[in-house]
Amino acid sequence: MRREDAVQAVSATDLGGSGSAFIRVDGLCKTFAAQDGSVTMAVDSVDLHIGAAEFVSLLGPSGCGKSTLLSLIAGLIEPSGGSVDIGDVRVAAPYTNIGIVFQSDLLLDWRTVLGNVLVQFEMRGQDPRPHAARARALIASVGLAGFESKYPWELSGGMRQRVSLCRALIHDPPLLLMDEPFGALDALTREQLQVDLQRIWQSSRKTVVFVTHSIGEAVFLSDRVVVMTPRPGRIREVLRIDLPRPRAIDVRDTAAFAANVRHINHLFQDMGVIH
Amino acid sequence: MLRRLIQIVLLSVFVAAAHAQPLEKVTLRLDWVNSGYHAIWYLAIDRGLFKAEGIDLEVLEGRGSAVVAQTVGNASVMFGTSDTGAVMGLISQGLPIRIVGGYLRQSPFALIFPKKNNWTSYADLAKGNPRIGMSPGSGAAVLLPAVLKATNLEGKVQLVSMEPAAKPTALLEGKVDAIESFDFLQVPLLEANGMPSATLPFAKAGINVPGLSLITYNDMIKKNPALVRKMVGLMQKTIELGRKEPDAAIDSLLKRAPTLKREVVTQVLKLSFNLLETEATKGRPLGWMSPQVMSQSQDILIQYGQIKARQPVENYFTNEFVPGS
Amino acid sequence: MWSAGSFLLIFVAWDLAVRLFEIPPYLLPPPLVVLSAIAEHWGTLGVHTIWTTLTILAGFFAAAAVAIPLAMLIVVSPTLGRLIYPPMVATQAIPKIALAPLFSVWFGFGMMPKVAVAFLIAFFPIVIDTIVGLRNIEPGMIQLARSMGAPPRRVFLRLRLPNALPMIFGGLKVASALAVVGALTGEFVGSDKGLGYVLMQASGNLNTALLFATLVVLSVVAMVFFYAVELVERILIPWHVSQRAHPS
Repeated sequence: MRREDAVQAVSATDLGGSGSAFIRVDGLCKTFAAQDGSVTMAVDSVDLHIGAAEFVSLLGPSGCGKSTLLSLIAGLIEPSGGSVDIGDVRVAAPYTNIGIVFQSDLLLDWRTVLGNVLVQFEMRGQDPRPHAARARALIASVGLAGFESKYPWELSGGMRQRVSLCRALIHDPPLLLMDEPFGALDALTREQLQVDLQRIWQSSRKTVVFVTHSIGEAVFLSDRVVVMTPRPGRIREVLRIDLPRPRAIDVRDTAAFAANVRHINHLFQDMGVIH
Repeated sequence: MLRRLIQIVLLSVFVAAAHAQPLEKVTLRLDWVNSGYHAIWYLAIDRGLFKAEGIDLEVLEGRGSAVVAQTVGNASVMFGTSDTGAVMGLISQGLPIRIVGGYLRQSPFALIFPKKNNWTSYADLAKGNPRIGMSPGSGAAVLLPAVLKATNLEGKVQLVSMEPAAKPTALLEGKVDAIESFDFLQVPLLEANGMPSATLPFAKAGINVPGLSLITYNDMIKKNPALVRKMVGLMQKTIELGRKEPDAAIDSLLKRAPTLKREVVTQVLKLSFNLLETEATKGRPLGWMSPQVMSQSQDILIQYGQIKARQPVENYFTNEFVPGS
Repeated sequence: MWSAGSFLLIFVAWDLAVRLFEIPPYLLPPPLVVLSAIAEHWGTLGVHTIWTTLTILAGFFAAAAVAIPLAMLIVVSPTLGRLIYPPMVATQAIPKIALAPLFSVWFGFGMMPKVAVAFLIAFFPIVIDTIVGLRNIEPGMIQLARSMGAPPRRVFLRLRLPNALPMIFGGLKVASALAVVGALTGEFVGSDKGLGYVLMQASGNLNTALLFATLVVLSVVAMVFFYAVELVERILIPWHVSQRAHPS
């Protein structure tokens, strides 16, 4: 490691005094069988502990298993080995006390913005009406005041993703899982949404697990960055990002930011991801 | 004076009772959709012939002799008029129906062609390899091979298949030189469209399977022979009335089918009367079928594959209900 | 406005063709003759139009009432789907026009056989389009619903079904046209009521003017029916891309 590179790797499982882990991933493996009978290992022996209110990014190249890892944490797929625990619960089925945001906004074309946000309650079999006022406030807080009655097709990509975010937050879950949520948006919108997400996270203190392949995005948003290897996905290194909060947009111009980015770049070069 | 009074009272009661008698509902399905020759039935209804014998007749239109015969066979309708050849074929296949009275006892089938062809006999077709338009499965098409054999025309004519409705048009357009069909149907139609035409009846070739007959199902004959007798008798009266007053019959027809053209249907009706009698039926009442003709018809139908197994000819028809026979 | 213009154009071209090629009236009457035939026989045409309309509606709604639930069944239960789907496809190949005369003998000459033919012809596109529509949901949507704790029935009713509506309507629109064909076929072959019966009578009597008059009336009926289905579509799925105004 070079001298100016003051970035240190930290333990994937030791949260150092910040309390017991909220999410515990132990020895997690996932293999997929292909149509021709061949077997792919997507995730290989991942150990990871995430503390409550932590913002953790899973960073890696395409196909490295980070989305699979997220799905395993969400309980949407079953592990081939190892386990996931969230709080006291061993995850064996879709864990529902979460909000999920995917890269595709997956809004319902036949519902308005407000209707789409409230669908979170309907899907749970609850009456959405008592939550309407809070939904409106949430929609306004992401800058979409006045758009409650609009349909998704009337909104831009960035606006739709904001609605998707509101949907994931409306029921106030302690855990937010996000899978490349800004990947389909243009650079400017993306940067703005990163700032908005940080603000929301800071005021709500939720645990966030954020999947991305953008080094800058991971460093900007996270407390810790989990750098993953290409397939089969293993943890190469976990970095603590010691930049002070709240992080303004121009934190990207600081030397400390650059050092983190450079460190991760070297990791990727080392792994042959960039050459 | 008192006796007179009692007579009047009794008569009124009797008449009132007769009128109060509920009419017997009877259904009759015609062989085809309304056409000129069906007018006689409507006139008979309008003139109260059926009511006078306590019958409320409902006349329904059909869609071909075979279909009509089958609906009589499954008793979904009480009586029907169908082509004798078709009926005999179906009876031989086990359809439980019988002919109870002949109507058009001369075969209506013929080759119809423009007058300008100048054909006067079947022999005239032997030269020139004429094209004959035919619709497979139709009553005439079934007998056509028999006609060609009997007139030595096998292999000397071309048979062109087409939809029934296309036959007159094909003739008008000169796509064929002749068509097979009911002669009394096509001739007025062609005339109305500017083509005077002539016919060569199948009967002339010796193929004289009778035409339309009144049929009913066997159970009806067993359970209500009185009604069957009434109906055959009424058919006689209906034909007589229609023959006497064709224009009034057409009026009755047009009331029910206003889209038909008066001149055409009048002609059709009048021509149909030519087929009521044949040599074999001379001196016999309307409705009477000749056992000899029926036997010969069975021979023809067996020869051309319409009937597989020979049966006693009484299986096909009966004259027992024909008044005056 | 534009549609009126295109019909006018058709009439003019039709009239010109008849004059230019000296087409005889028993083959193709000029448009004015057809129009006057409509006027002359409007009573008959009116009555039979009602009969045909009833048959079309009965066949169409019966088809929808059976096809949509059947499609749902096939989507929800793959085993049942494997049982039902192949014979269903096989029977589609049978030309209904061959069955129609048999229906007349079995069911009589009333409404039943005609409605049966209309039903059989209209049925297939509704089933297929409904199945495609129900299956055509992004897998991510299902994942999302599962992570929201939605049980399968709720996923079906609240997600799959509304999402499928545009495709279902596609099937219904095709079926609306086919129901007309089916009703006509049934009437043509075995009925004494309806526009199909009038067609049969007209063609048998070489009354080509009435034949075309009936065809014109029939086209109007089919058009009205189709647009009625489109209207219902507009009301039920105003949110779909197909219902939005085109950007100028």
